[in-house]
Amino acid sequence: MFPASGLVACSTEPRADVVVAAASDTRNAFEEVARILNTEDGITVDFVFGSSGMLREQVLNGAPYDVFVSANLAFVDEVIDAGAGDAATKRAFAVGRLAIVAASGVRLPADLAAISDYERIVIANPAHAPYGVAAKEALGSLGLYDALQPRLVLADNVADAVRIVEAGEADVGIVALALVIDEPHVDVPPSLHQPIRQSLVITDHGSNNAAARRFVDVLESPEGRRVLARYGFAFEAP
Amino acid sequence: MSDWFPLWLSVRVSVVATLLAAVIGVAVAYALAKWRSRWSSVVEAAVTLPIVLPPTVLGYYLLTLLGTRSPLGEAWERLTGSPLVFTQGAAIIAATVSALPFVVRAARAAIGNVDSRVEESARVMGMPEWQVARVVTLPLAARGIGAGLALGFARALGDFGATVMVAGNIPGQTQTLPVAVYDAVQAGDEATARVGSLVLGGIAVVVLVIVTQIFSRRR
Repeated sequence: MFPASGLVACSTEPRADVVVAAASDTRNAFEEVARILNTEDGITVDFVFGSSGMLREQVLNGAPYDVFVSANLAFVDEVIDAGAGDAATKRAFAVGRLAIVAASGVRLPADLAAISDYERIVIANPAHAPYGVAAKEALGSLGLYDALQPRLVLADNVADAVRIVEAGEADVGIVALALVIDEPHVDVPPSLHQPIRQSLVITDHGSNNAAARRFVDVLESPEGRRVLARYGFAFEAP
Repeated sequence: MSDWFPLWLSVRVSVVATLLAAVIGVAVAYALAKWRSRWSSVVEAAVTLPIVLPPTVLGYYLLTLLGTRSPLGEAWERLTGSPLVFTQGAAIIAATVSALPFVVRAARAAIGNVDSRVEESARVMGMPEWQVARVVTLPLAARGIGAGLALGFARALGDFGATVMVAGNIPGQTQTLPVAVYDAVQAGDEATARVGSLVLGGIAVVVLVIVTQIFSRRR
């Protein structure tokens, strides 16, 4: 133990000014926000992307993340209730949307109802991924979920669902619009599921980190919102 | 691949983990080979568990055992002032636990195969037991132990599931090469995924060739 901690002690300092643990649907948009932050303030951001559920578990177990971004509000509340996040910094900053993508060489369905024509359909795992919950709800509101369940492939997180379709391992996927906005896709009407509220909180670990607050500010600035809107995120009236 | 940090971190983590697994593993193997009791099989099963458990389950056990909400994790934080999980130390622990069964199993077999008559004659010459182990048993078992260490190193280098659970995926801090490959695949960064996979595959092949040579030289 001691030789080990001695060997590594010098290099466990974070290399970026702020470490943001974020739901995987935000990857493309957040990397652009980080570039803005870097140009304007010289602040560097490192991201840890994963499913909201896994990241919550890590935050609750003491992971050194400054900001926790979940694709739902519930996980942020859990982090706050456990005393691992500052309630005053909680925000629901955008609303995510669902979209359908198809593997290359597979024709896109006309709408969500037509998805029952396909053999293998990938969604994020509803057990811990908010986009999976929304996909399940959307299929449920069309009365399709039970019939389609045997054909569903459950991905680790929503970015993994995109990868599975792109690799051709599934015919179609119900994924985050933000990850496929530049590719052919079919929108899923937001009325079919509960809003996918993108939420964040500054963690206990990041409470003294000015760069973490700056990241949140830029995200909520008109410029940050323009980036989010370009990736298909919507905003609720305050 | 623009960032080689994950490779260096992986090499450092697996070297330290292999050293730790060597010390712990050889001691456990020696005890298992020399003192037979009805608890031996329980100990051996417990040590072997990381081979058969899904790495994520192993990671979850470690997170529960060492996390900031556990007694062990709290004690560590009181002692050192910072949490143990989500550090390179946690990556080393995950890699050590993954490597341990390979070392224990190979070393136990090698120690058990040492001709007991040679050990007996050392005892007759008046050597105390720890001298017998140091001068006779362990050198004669070195080849088998070495093979176990090589396999343990390869396993430590390749660990993904346990590492990502207890050490996380923090770029520049705890992102080892297997975790970086996973992240690159998720990000659609095929170049990094391809180079990282080739490097890991290459190291694994080299290690396996070494192991094969160790065994074939025996005859």
